[in-house]
Amino acid sequence: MEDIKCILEKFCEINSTISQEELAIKEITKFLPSSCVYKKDGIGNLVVNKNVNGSNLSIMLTANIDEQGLMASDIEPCGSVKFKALGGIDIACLPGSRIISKNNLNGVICMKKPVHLQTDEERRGYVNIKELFIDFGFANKEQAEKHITLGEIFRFSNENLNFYYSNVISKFVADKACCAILLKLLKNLDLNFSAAFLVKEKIGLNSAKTATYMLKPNIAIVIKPYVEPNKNLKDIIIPIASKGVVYSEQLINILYNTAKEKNIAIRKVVLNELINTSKAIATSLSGVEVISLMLPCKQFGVFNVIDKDTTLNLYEIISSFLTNLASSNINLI
Amino acid sequence: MLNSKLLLELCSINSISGREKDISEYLKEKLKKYSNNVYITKLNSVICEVRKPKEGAPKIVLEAHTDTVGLVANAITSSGYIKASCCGGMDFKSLIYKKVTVCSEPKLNGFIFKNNQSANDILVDVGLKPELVKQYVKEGDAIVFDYNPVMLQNNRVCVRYLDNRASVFAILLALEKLKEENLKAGIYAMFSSLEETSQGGAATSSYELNPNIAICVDVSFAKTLGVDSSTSLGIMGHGPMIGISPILNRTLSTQFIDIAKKNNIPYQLEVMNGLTGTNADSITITKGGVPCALLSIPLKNMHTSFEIVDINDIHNTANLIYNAILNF
Repeated sequence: MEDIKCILEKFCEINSTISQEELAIKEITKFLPSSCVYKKDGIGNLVVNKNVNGSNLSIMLTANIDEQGLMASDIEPCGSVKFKALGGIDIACLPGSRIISKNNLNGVICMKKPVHLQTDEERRGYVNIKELFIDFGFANKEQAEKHITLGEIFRFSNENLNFYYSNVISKFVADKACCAILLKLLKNLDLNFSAAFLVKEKIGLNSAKTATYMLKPNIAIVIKPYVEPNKNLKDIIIPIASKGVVYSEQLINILYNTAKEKNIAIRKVVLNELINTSKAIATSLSGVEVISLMLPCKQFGVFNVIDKDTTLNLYEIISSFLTNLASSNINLI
Repeated sequence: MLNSKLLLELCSINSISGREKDISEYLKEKLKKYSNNVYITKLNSVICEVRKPKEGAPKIVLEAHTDTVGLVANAITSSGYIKASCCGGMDFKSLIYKKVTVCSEPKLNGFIFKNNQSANDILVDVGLKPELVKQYVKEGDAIVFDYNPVMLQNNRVCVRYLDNRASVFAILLALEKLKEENLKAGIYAMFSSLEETSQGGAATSSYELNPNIAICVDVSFAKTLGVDSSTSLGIMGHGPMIGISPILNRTLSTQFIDIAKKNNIPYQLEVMNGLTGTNADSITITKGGVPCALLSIPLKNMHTSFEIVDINDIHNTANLIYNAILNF
């Protein structure tokens, strides 16, 4: 876990809000071993080829580096800033969230009325984004306009990595853990394969398409978080199908059996939701065989909770799968 | 010299209504520099006799409450979630997904959980198996917000518990300024427990002290986007709000206005047509009745983990108290 922990600690300090992923990409390149050749594609994805004297696997692994943020949409006469959410985020989590502007000013997301002044009707249900605004402490619109521009992107305040019993807790840490697994594979395996660290995925851009075009794999493994409704953080999730994609039965069985042989808890699920990355890759080039492996997490607004053992187990499964594939223990037709 | 670090230190201490022991002990130590006569009452209020009155001079109490809103564990579900109730009036919408600490033995970190089945059930997930949660957590354990202060523009600060640590800080600043003054009036600091639930701390402590005058300091609503202007709201950075209400002593209120004008201290009025919702309501009916003044510090997001005040307003409140005391 130590190397993953080290990578995560670094990632949790860095801003990788959608369309501002450059710093995170730069940090990733620092962790890449010298055997990796990398470049940024046209939309900012980091595509990596590992070149060693080993077997060539036409496999691409992906993880997402971007994280949700907010965008300034209006400034009120009192200096409060209205905003739009950037990337899918549960609006209910926003009141009280600390955010940071481009100029590193602190802001807090506030609700319009304190509970004492709300009507009975206003007290019911969940908050609506129209009732929210960001308070930077500006006295009026004029002052606010000197520091904030419309369209400016705000990031959520950074959170240190916290370890609590077997849980790892931080801001958007599940996606960062998937990236850390990918980096550890690139570092430890003496195999030729490729990897893509994807940007702008959370706003629905099929950014995996350009990475797939650049790397031209036969098979892709999409590593993603899975918000576990049962709060069980021990089972690695392997989707049989998600909206618009039916995954390779052969690959599912191989990965499933790999986990079972290693006594790693794994669960097959059918997802009703769309996994952008999977669909984008599956329909790229003349078609790519896709499989997804998912890290279970709890999601409390911008915070994720993951299990450190499960994170290592996910690494183990992929590592074994790639090693077996390279030594031809697996026959892919 | 007291500075804003002390304000943040005050806000870092847990003490939801009815569990004020930690803040009381802390304040007792802090107040020892002003008097040898500092004690904690049966209900966990702190009383400090800063100076006895000279003959014929009034006995003045400076009062602020020390308790805060929070949550209390009231059951553990079969899945291991802690079901919690509000201690003091809180907005459920401000609680969702907030980081909390359960003050159990050992203390447990957790998140308030969004329960899609019932929007108003407060559930806390501490990430442990049900049997462990049942072993550690007892019904009645306090659950407190994460302490996460952040400085905003114009000397404003956002942190939990500014209601009412901002007022405690204002009184400490005033005491510091009064330290060297030769006064006739007797000065007593009274940091009361239980305001958010029953005002019991202020009622019993004022019974014990039997003051001639009480100056209560609390927070009140600051103007925010979307609150209609018919409500009497303070403007952040425009100084303390001097309370005008039938239950408050009008002569005292007028005196405060005059003192603010004379000393160029910014102030604003908070007009209330009945009870004030503060400890002034209890103190004023103590024994044969106590003339009360109320000073309020404008605050945004009251009763949430992200309350905001303007630190200049706190200093101006302290300055107004100091100048008023010199006048008595």
